[in-house]
Formats: sequence, C-alpha cells, structure tokens
Amino acid sequence: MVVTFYIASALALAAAAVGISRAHPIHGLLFLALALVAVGVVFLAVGAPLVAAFHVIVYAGAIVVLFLFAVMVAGLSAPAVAAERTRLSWRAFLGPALLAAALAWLLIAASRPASGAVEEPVPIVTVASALFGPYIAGVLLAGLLLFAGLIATHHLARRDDAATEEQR
Amino acid sequence: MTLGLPEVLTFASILFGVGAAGLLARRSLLFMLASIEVMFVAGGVAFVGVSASLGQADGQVVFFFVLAAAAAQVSVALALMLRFHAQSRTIDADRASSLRG
Repeated sequence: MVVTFYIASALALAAAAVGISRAHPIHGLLFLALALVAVGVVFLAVGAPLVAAFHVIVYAGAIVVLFLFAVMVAGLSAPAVAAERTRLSWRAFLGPALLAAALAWLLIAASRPASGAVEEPVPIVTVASALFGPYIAGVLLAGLLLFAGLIATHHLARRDDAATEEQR
Repeated sequence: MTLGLPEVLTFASILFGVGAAGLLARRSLLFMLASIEVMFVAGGVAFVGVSASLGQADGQVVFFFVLAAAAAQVSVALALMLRFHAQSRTIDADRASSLRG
C-alpha cells in the first residue's frame, strides 16, 4: 500500500505538472487524465475504494471528456497553438512556480500537527449509509446544485433570439 | 509499515501548488479551468486522507460534495468559455478584459 501510494502520487504530480504546461490542449488534457487516474490509485491506496471509483468515473470520465468536447466545439486553430507555444517559455513559469512553491510549503507547514496513520479501509457500506443517513440533505442539495448548473448551461448556450428578431 | 497522514497531506499540498502554478502561468481559459480542477482534486485528497486516518466516513462524504461542486462549476465555466469563444474567436484570458454588455 505504501509503495503504491508513493508511485501513484509521484506519477500524479509529474503528469499534472506536464499537463498544465503543454501548448496543445489535447496533449495537456490527456496528461491531465493520466494524473486524475493516478489520483484514483492514491484513493485506493488510502483505503477509499468507493471514492476511487467515483473519482475516475466523474473526473477522468466526465470532466475531461467535457473539456475535450469544448475543444472540439471551439476548434483548434494552428496559429493559436503556435502562439501559445511561443508564450510558454520556462521564464513564464518561473514566478508562478515560486509563488506556488511558497503556497505548498505553507500548506505543508500548516498540516504539520496532523499525525496518525491510514489504518483499515473504511467499508463502502459505512460511506453509503452516511450519505443516505445523516447527510441526505447535503446529497439532495448537491443534486439541486447540479440541476442549477444544467439550467445555467442551457441558458448560456441559448442562441441570441433577440438579435435575430431585430434583423427581421 | 503503514501509510501516514502527513504523507497524504503533503501530496495534497504539492498537487494544490501545481494547480495554482498552472492557474497563474497560463492565459488559455481551457488550461486555467483544468488547473482549477487539479486544485479541487487536491482538496478532495486532503479530505479523504483525514477520513482514512480517523477511520470514519465523513471525509469521503465531503469528497462527494466537492465532486458535485467541481462538476457544476466546470459545466458552467465551459459554457461561458464557449460563449466567449463564439464572440471573440479566442480563449485568451487577456482578451476577456475587453468584454462588455
């Protein structure tokens, strides 16, 4: 379990770092999918199989595919990718990397008091009965949030009828 | 040899830092949204790690709420991005400073 955790977390960090620095969107998204699957393996290693399954299904399965769909709709122009490539030098990442390293160091320092070990995996039954027991209101609100997201997306994607009516 | 909670939280912190670096460095809206997803995932890892070290399910329940928030956020943000692309033929965040109306 410990070895699995270290390999998967190193893979996730490396793939995420490579993924966010690609000029070509498809390359970046594929590296991001690899990083998300590796995080799913991390969830398995810390004993959360239900979370691992949902993570891979929703993040790698749905969200990355949504990104790919957006790339497909927006279209990839070769000049845009070339412009992105010229902009992405190591110099562009210098300041952000320093700031992010400071942020990560702060987070690690803040979590220093945390101790304890990852013991037995939490059974799926426990998670499920917590979701549908004391947390049922939260689950329903999460469903409402997704429904609100659906309605907002529908409104944003609507063709502008007012403009076409003015033309008539 | 068992896995300790500090290792999991360190991994979550560094993953959050990677996402933050991408958000600051990139000017493509697509990659900025992808970086935000990485930061969401890092928060989820911290929740699940604490849940595992306590041996209780509550952290995993919070992970599901984070998952729902991330999914709703990315759907609305991608719709806005496509709207912006239809208007200005680019997804460069610098060009978004000239939005109006």
